[in-house]
Amino acid sequence: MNRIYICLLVILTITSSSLFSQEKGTLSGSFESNNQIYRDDSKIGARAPKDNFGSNNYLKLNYNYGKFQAGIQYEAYLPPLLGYDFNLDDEGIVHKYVSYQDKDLAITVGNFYEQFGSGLLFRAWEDRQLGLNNALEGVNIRFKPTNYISLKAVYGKQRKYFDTGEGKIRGIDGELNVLEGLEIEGNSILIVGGGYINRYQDYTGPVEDFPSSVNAWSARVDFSSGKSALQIEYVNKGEDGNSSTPQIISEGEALLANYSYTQKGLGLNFSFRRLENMTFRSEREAVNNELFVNYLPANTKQHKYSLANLYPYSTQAMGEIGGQVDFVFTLKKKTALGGKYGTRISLNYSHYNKLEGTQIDGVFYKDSEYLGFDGTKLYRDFNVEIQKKWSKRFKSYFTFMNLEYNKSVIEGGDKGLVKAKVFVSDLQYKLKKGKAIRAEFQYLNTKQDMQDWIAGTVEYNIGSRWSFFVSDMYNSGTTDVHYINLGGSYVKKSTRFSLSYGRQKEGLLCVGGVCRMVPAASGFSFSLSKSF
Amino acid sequence: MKKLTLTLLLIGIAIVSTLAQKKMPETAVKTLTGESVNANQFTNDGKPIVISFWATWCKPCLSELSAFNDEYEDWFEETGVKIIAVSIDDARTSARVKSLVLGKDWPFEVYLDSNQDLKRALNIVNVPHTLILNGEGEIVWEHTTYNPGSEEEIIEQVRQLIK
Repeated sequence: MNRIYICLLVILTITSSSLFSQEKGTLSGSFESNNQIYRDDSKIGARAPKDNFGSNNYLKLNYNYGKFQAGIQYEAYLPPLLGYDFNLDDEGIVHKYVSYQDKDLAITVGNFYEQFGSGLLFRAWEDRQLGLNNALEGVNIRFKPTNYISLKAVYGKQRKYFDTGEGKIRGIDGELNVLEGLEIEGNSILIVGGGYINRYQDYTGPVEDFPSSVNAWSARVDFSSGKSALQIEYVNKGEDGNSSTPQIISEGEALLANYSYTQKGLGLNFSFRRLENMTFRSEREAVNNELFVNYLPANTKQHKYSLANLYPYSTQAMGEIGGQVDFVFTLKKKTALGGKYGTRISLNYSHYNKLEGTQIDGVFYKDSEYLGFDGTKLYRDFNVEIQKKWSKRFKSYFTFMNLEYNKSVIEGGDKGLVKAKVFVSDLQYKLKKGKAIRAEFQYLNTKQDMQDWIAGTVEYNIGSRWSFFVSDMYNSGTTDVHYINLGGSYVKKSTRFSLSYGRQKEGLLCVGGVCRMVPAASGFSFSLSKSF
Repeated sequence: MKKLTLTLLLIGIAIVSTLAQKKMPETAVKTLTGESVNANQFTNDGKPIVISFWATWCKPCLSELSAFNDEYEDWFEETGVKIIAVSIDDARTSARVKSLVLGKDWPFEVYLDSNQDLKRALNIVNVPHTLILNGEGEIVWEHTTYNPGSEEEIIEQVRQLIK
């Protein structure tokens, strides 16, 4: 069966590209392959899998013919890289669709991705780094009856590894651009929207009134006028069944509010979010990153450097309250502080507390006021970034971060609240003939957990094609272990090939606020990606 | 061994496929004020457009856009090029896009592709990914990743187009 698929793929690829690409339809796609040869490395606790090899491969093909489109995604895990779920140990065409699209109407049959509002109610998406794909298999319709109304409808089952989950999802969403509809001219924009999602999963157990059907709805407003903008989104989720015990989880609520003030050279953003009983999956028994219906990313700043990401916040969907303030501004060119090129400064403060209450067997019992802030502190981060260009060749970035991370609650264990300060300096120097060198130095200071860390990277680039790096992350506080990596990459247009050798620390890998545990690993990696 | 053959075969397929002249698809993205725009409506009055896919958490993306920002006045004067920055930030970070773009005083047209519909339609694997559109809106050049200095190569491609 698999051979047939592969033969078909080859034939389709070759014939389509040679026969049709110039005249009628177009074939496009992408390919990504990530591989690693593992070795045992007792110093960091890395154990190689049985055949010392892991390989994740994705081939995506889209064929476009006028208003019609069809596509597939073939995935092969031979076997999956360490840290990905073992349920992925398979290969096959997991994603296929046909769609019709014109200016006002799009209909997709098969597998599709979709999102209502910011995703607080519903989001079907893919993230290969997380091994997460909860695309729906069913029907998706997007319709714009006028230029100020847009409607969406979804129906289907979510992808679960190489299969679909048991639960059925159905939903509708609408958005109205009010002022445009009323033909009111001006610099204000008011968009209101609302959505509804129903999840149905059979229940045959003994509990009476056990909710096999869960309803959730959302309402949102997006208003901007001149320099100010306000967005508010509220989600209500009905009673749901618990998986580990035959209990009923009470109604859930999510509130997200965002206010921003922006003008040339200055941006200010306040964000608040409160979550209560908001874990929502299309199958009650789902675990890890399986079958999420809604998307609840960590509402904190996502950092770019490795030590700054050592303690990443992850959302506590059953009960959290907090927010962040973000302030970005430019010191103008040709002023005392701005220098010749201007200086850019970003400040951010994030704070999250647990919602006061108790959680027993996955069921949360609230015990606080709606806006009560008296729960345990989960996370607090104050950080500053300064970007300065000194000359045509030399640029620098400095980051300081003062962090509190409740490791016991977020990851488990008995480390308690970890208080850390992180310092990063990142220097970039352009040499002659398109060559450039970049050096990064990081230091993390803490008395808790594994104490101090030091990290450094040196990167050397030749033109836009070649890039080489050496990096080390060193735990000077407790283990005295070095995590050295070296590697290089070659890029030509949209093709990238990279090689590296070294150690990878165990820990939480978070992308977009969703995390997965990565085990310690050691060995040789190579990757290829291409879009065409 | 069988697995390795399969891997190699897949790589082969990817390489065999030829490059077709792509245009921007009819995929909706949002402006910073929340309004929908279809990507096939990106225009610059018959002059080239550079489109950069980026995210607030992507270090090389920010380096690329800040390099474009440094050069933009000169580039615009010389070629009339427009730069569009499509952010793939999702709900996690998309609220920060507007304050970052204005705070950094970037002169680019910025759109949000928060469930990555446009990124997917263009088969982009990772960010940063940069496209160049000629005056007819055809994608004539693309490049993935950013190394300091790559901006020179991009403006050189744009210069070739207006000759």
